[in-house]
Amino acid sequence: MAVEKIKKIVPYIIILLVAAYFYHLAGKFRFSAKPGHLGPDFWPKLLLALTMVACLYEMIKTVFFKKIVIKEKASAGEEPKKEAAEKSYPWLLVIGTLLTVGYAYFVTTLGFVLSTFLYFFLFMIVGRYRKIWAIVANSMIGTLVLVVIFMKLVYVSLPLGKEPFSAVTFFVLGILGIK
Amino acid sequence: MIDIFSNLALGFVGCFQPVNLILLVAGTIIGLIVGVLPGLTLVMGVVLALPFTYPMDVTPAIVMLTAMYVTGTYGGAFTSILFRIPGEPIHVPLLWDGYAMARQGQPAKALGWTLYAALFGGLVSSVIMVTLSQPVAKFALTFSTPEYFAIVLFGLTSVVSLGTGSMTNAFISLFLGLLISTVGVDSTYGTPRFAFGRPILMDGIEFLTVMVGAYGVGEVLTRLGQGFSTVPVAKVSSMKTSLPGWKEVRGLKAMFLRSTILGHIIGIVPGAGATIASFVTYGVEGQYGKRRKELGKGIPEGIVAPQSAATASVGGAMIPLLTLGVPGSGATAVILGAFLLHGIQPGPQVFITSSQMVYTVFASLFLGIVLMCVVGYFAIRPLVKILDFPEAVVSVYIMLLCFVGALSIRNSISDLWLMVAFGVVGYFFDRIKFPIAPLVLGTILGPLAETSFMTTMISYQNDWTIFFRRPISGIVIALTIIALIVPMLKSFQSVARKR
Repeated sequence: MAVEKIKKIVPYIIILLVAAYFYHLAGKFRFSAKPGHLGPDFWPKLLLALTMVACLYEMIKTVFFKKIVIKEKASAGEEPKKEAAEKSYPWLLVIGTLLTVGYAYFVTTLGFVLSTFLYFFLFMIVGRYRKIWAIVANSMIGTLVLVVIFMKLVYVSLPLGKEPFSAVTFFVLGILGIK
Repeated sequence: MIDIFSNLALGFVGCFQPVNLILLVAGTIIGLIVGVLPGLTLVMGVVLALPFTYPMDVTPAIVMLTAMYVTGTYGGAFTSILFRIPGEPIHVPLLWDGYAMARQGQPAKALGWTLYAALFGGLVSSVIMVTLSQPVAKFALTFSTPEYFAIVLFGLTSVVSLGTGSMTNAFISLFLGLLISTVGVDSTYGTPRFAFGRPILMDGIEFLTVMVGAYGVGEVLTRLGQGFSTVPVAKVSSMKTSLPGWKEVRGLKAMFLRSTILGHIIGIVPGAGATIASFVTYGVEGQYGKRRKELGKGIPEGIVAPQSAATASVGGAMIPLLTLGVPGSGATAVILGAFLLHGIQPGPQVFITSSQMVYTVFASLFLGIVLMCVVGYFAIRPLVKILDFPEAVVSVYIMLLCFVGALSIRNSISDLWLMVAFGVVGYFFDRIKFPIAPLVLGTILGPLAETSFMTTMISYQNDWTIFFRRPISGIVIALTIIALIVPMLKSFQSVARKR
């Protein structure tokens, strides 16, 4: 029971500590105070104080007043159904998140074209899609469509990449007639 | 009144300009697709469309986004009724009577009732919107900073009190959102706040980064963690719409009107969107409707009430957005973002400075609703086919559109990093049951809330009682307090009852 309660209050403890740290930072803002005027620290301090109060309230409520109900196992018939609905894939999530962080990290080096193609390809595989030809086709067509839309029609300044990868970007842009 | 009609007529002329018309059609079709896809919410759809609007003029951009918003409230009805898969939370009430009617061998008729409900709700609500907007805007011109602060406070509080789940969590989410908006150089003193010496943080955190990350990336990560489980689609005998007869419709005219007006009012209230409108009107039918005992067994009332209210809420939500610059829902928050990106601050002044644009948007709403019903009537089969797309494929497109969206906000890779970070925050918020809407609305309305509060304090020598002493702000603050207290009392009552 105590473990369940601790699990429940962990997010509030984290937010409370972060809010306390930011409250401390807000106290160090440098500004020349105007007499009778509230400073630039007033608003953030107010919000941080309210956040801390809310966290404390929830922590006290959980620890002292909340009854934690431990879910009993469902009847034999219901169990497989429920399990199927609630199945989780933490590794897919970790790999998907790393892939996303990797995209942000490598896009300036590899360029939009190459990193987008790779992201398309890898993310579909991570997402348990297994039709390899459909993955390749989607990755190629998807990348080209995004490049045409965002680099030709809607002009968005997307990363071209660094040498030697930028050569790939320029090659694709050349094929698509984008200067 | 004549003024309004002549402006609206000019708006219709503006709507028929080729660019506006093409984007209206595109917005309608994309909105229907977004509505059909269960993994893509209405707000996320509008967020993802935003980067496409960057090179456009403001009018076609808003026309497209508004068309998506309104049609998104209708598209999910097809899959709810035919396959018991609600494309949006809005359409959950349709599962109870819409799907039941389909199971009784009348799927075409159930779709027909939905079409009528969306058409009626949308058009009547648009008429109310056009009629009310200009007077409300004129009235809003008399507002000063205390009134603005009170209205923003009311909007933010409503988001918290009308949400489902823990109110404390919603408040924490809101405070964090408001706090994010303080990052950067303070506008009064020029003091950097929480910038840690980073140039990108000196410029502040764009609310679009938060929105795209928390809604888009966060949602995809959540679904990836569930293994992208695609729901198998059952085969249905009929996939067409059959319109109910005039006599049947006339018999329900009071209910059509009641749900539409209720949906419109709920739409006006900040924080309450199409989903709440749909559930509340279904609940009202369940409590006061003539055939309340038959509700849930496949009767038209159970289809018309939620659908007409959901579509009617759009017209309602556009009023505070355009007249006060206060978005009441996630989708209107994105539309506000589109306005700001094009250098236009919605509010009472916009009716004077950009009247042609405002009325073109109004007119596009009428056309969009009609078009939505026409497309929905004829193109139901290809629309429903979209459900066959594997979720992994749809999700990777969502992710990449999020990336492009973030990169294009300020052409900075730092925004991409921030967006990914907010995506992770969005995922954890979902895990620990913290709602995302207050975070996003806090980020959007934070600067307005702070500026109006600080300006009031400077103007009235730190006398905070001014918020209560001025009549309009006093009333709005009172409403805010009621909006806070009522759910708290209800919560205490339910706890006491359980004991």
